[in-house]
Amino acid sequence: MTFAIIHPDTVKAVGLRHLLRSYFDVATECFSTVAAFVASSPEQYDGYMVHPTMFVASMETLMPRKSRVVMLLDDDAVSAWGGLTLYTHRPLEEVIEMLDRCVCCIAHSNESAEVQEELTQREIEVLRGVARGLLNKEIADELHISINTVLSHRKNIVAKLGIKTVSGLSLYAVMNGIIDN
Amino acid sequence: MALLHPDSRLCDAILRDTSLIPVIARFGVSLGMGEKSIATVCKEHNLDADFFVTILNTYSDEEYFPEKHLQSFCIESIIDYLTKTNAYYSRFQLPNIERHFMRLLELSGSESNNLGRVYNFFVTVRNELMMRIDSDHKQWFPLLQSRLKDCTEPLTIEPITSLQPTDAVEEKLNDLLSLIVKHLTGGYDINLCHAVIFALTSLLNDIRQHNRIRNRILRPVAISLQCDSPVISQL
Repeated sequence: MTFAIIHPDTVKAVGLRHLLRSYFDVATECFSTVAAFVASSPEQYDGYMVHPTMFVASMETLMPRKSRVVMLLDDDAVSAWGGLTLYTHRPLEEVIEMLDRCVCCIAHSNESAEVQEELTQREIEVLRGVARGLLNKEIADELHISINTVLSHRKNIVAKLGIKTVSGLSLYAVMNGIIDN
Repeated sequence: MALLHPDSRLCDAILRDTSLIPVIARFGVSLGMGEKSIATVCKEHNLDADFFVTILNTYSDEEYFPEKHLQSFCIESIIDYLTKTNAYYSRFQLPNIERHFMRLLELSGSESNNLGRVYNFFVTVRNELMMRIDSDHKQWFPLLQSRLKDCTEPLTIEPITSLQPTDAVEEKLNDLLSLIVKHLTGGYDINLCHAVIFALTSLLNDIRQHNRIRNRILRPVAISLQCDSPVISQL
């Protein structure tokens, strides 16, 4: 998983990055301005850890992803925010426990957390098309499904196999008898 | 990991992270450096200690990338370093993996496993990397050097704000490792198979560092001189 940390304080952002990497194996990108975050293709991140002032400035981007947003608060003041919250001023042990809860919630709300080991029959058919060198549109036409469905199957295939490139997927297909050599 | 400084002892840096051995070799520094500081070793080898330390720190710490500091060095030094890493891949790392792979194939037989196919995939990745190296040496680096010579005004270098291009070689090496670790079938020589995995991992880590410098330092300069890498442009 990759999180975006959007916080004006570099030291706090880097500290959070360190905790996420060390304890939860979560990769991060840090942004000290909303403009840099918005320019970075925000949809690519699985979770967002954000300072309240920067949340307000990027509301349009973050509100639709509210279930994956963690508000970073540095005092115990009552907040109207009803979502995930991390109180950054609390003792380390508490911070790690809060982070654990946030990371688990976000992981469960992401589709990737539901990945099973085996490819489904439909995914095998899509993989066969990829290995034959077909374009997404050609696969969609052949299987009578939409391009978006093909893309969704491809995303699942990559997540399940840990193989991203077409040549790697083709080799996997040959090695497993999905296509002939 | 604590950052290195010119007064750090080079032997401590190497003992802490042995993957730095090929990096210092690229600068002409060999083992047996005794207890000398990095500054002393650099003086003996006529190297810029600041540049040497920055490269070592960049290499050994994935999180550390002093973009502005690296940009302050002479571009010739960056090109020279990337040329040496390319030479290390083509002369040592790739032949080393090839040697281990061939021996693995010999000792593992081909009846019950799919190693032959995995080896063919390695050959594809190797050829792609060699093509990039060839293009660097014959086209991109000479063109960049000649444009730099002709450039009379100070360059305006804009950082690349869009997402960095995905490196095909890096992705395929990742896939190759996944295929071996997750999808290998049948019997194989364990020691040689491990040796191939370690050698591939070492190459992949090295290429990641190479690409960080290539994409975040050299490419912005090349783009401002209107001579981006032909290999990158095709991706």
